[in-house]
Amino acid sequence: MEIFRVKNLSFSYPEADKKALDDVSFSVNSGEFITLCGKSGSSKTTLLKLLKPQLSPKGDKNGEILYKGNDLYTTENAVTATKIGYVMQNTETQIVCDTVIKELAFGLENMGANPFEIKRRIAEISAFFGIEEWVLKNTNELSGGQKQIVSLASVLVMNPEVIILDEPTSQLDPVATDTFFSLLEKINRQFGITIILSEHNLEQCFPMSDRVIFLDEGKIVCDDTPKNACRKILKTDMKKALPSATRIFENENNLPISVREGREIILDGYEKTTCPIVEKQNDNEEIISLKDVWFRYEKNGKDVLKGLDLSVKKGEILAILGSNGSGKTTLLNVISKLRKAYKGSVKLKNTAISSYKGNSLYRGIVGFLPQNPKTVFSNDTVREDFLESCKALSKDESVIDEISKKLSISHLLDRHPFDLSGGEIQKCALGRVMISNPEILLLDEPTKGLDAFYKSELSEIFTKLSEEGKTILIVTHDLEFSANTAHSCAMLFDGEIVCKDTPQKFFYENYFYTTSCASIAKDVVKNAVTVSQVTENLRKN
Amino acid sequence: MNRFLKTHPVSMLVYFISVIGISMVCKSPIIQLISLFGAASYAVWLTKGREFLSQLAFFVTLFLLISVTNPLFVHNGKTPLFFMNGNPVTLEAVICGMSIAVVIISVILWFSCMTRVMTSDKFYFIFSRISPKLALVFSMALNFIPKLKKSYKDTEKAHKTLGIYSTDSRVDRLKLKLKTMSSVVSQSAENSIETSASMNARGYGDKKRTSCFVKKFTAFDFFVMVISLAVFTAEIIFMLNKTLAFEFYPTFSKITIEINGVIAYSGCFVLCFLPVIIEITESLKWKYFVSKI
Amino acid sequence: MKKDLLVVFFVVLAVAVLIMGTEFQSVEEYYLTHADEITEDSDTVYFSINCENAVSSGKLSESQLKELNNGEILKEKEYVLLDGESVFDMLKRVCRFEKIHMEYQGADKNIYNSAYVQGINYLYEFDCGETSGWIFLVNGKQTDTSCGKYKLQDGDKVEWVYSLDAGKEFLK
Repeated sequence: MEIFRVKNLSFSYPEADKKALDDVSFSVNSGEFITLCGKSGSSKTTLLKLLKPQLSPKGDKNGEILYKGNDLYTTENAVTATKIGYVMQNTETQIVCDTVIKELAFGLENMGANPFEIKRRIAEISAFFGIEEWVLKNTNELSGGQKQIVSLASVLVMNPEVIILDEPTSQLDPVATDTFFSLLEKINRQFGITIILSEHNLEQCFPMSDRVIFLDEGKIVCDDTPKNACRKILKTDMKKALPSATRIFENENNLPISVREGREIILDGYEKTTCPIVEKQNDNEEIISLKDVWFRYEKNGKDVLKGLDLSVKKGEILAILGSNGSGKTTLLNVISKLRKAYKGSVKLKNTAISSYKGNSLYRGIVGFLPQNPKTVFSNDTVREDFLESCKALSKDESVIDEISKKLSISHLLDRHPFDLSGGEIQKCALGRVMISNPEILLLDEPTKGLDAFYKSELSEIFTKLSEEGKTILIVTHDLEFSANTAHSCAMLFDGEIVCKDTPQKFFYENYFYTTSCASIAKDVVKNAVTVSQVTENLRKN
Repeated sequence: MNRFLKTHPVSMLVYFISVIGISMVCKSPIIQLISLFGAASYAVWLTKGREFLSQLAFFVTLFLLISVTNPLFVHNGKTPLFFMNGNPVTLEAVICGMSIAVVIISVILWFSCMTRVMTSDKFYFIFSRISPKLALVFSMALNFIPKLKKSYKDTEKAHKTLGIYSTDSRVDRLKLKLKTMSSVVSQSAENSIETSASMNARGYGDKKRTSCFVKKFTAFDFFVMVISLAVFTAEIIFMLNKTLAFEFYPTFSKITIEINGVIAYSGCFVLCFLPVIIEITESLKWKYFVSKI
Repeated sequence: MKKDLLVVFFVVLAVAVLIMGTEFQSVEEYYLTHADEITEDSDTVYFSINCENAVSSGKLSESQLKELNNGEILKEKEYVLLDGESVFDMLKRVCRFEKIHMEYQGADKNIYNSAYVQGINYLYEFDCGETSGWIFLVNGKQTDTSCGKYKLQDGDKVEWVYSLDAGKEFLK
């Protein structure tokens, strides 16, 4: 049965000269799992929102959207509210109530459902999702992954026919992302609920999709099975976003789209080789030195850092990896003097951190880019914020041009920071942090929510900065990014650094916490952890 | 064991309203003392004694302060103790001060018990009975406040490390706070747009809202409700017919033991000690059940 | 935190009482006064305190009524008038001598810059409604000046009466 049929849909925002959507036509059948992909700014969100009348943006709309054969926009509100579920990108803002149970009840209460019916549905959903334990918890106490599961559950209680998800995992760590996707797959396979998903994490969602719709500049470039879509996408600059297996074997007849398929190909037909280990020689002086650092937030609380040692050399790009709650962000706070270790020494440039009086530390030594880049801005335009920094730090205004050129953000300077896309605001925030010209950059999850395109841009920027002698410390969950960008990777576990190595050794020696490239090539190409490392050393039998 | 905690929110609210109402309105020192000891014993039960003991010093100081302050301003009374600037400091005024202190302390204690027992969930339930929309606002506010706090903390950190504001200067620290505030306000305005979209997406405002929170009204809840209302009305009647009337000035009224008075005092005793009585009988029952396991 | 605040408040209160030059007297000291003997050439005034209308208003509590009897607090009696004494000075002296309770607000405590009588013999202003309170009549008439400023003369007849209606019932 056809759920949606979109006919020649065009859409343009008021006062925009370009059409956001241009003559888009497709249909969605009941039970399908559809992935919508495209670069940032390719109007994925606009298209998804148009499928949900309650969220449809204001603007000039032409064409038709049919929901089960009737015009979507004349269908009764109560029907579209319950039967079309919508999960958003931001884990924080889409939660309305203070406790999980109220959040789950919210939609049904809006529909005026009978209290006993609501309770029963909540019981059913919590049992299915296995979330009984948190039903009475406050939503604020949940992790990002748990919040997103609650959002999905609160849509699912309303018994929808189709669920639309707009980049639901972009704010989640890899483990939470896996959990979320497996839930989605379960919902789709077991109950035949149609799923329309926009995503830039294609590695995971391609294998479970029935169809992929590739959107570029408001037009559908292809609407096909994942394999066929991959073939088309390989010819575009979206290539970087494709699953590793696809990128490694792009000329294979039966194009692989999952790690398993990739391994099947590599295991028969390729000879064993070894990728030379490239170790970046760094004879510079030590710039960050932590010895036996202990930290806890409250007097009687638990230790978060437990005798941590860390040494970073000037010009090094160090990626610190580890699960949630392992103390990654705390470590950055301690290095940037936002928190004080109760024991141990923290030295920057061979000087104890406590000797940096006033804010001398933040004027040329340390720059800190927090997880939420919005927190860096407080004025109406990016330029005003930059000027404020320049004035206070008595820097010449030419610094702004210099930095904007380096980060290619000149065209964004006069926009409001909150109107920028995820990648754009991340770069602008980095720009503001760089005005003080810090020798050490501390970055908390800089790639969160970014698509492959922005990630490779950031990677280039970081490499350039390190060549200029900046030291960069990245706290991240992004394994692929670390493998591609960092000079060394460190694993933080239980308040300690348990290993620190070059990315090649680090990921090759890990079995599970590793890049998908490493998983594919493990038994054939030794020490290869990125796509280029694998392809360069691949020899056919 | 905490049986009283599981009482139906409406019964519980009625209980606290009547007990606090009686404590505040009734002038009879005996009723006031019963209420004080009732509140204190329940507070001790709820906090396992420790917290209450740590607050004891505060209550004693408060008590002394109020009993001393009253005679400084009120010079009425037949029994002058000494004269201050030509105005009498009287025994009646001192005792009246003590009585005010007892009332204030017992009301504070009742409220502290109430905040422990009437958690936000129970208020949410009561609100949802009155209006599901009001309850939603309450819940959203409870969700919003911690978010705002977190956003403030994060933003302050981010701005601090920009190196714009000197940490030594007071003016700069204030500027940092103001900047953080303005940034937090615009961030939360931005976020609230998304929250309202999320509400619309789930059909907010389409139909009349209901609330999924239903609670059975048990015989026990009925019992608590009836006792509270009965004692409250009885005490009001006794106050009106002057059984519980008490005057401090010009001199104390005599307290006579008569049948009406005894009924009034014992009623008040049952009401004020109700939670403790319930808890004790429940824990005795529990011990009996445990002995059978 | 709460405790500290209270202690601070306590200390401030105590210090304030001491600094303001508070004078403490025991009960005996306070009532230990003599009335001058009436002689041929001493100036005298007739003085009385009465609150019959308050007693008969039915607005007083039982315990108050017990203290007031029929409302005649001080029967008209002749007292020596000291040089330059005001109505208020006279009242204060007579109450002390007769051991009658009286509470006033000193001239420095109110905006009128004049002493103000709040209550006599446990009967206070506002006890019989919003417009009730103590007023005084000199030779049967109300005066334009306040009690602290009205200077008495030989032979004046001073009546302190309790008005239920801001003195209107004594406008004859």
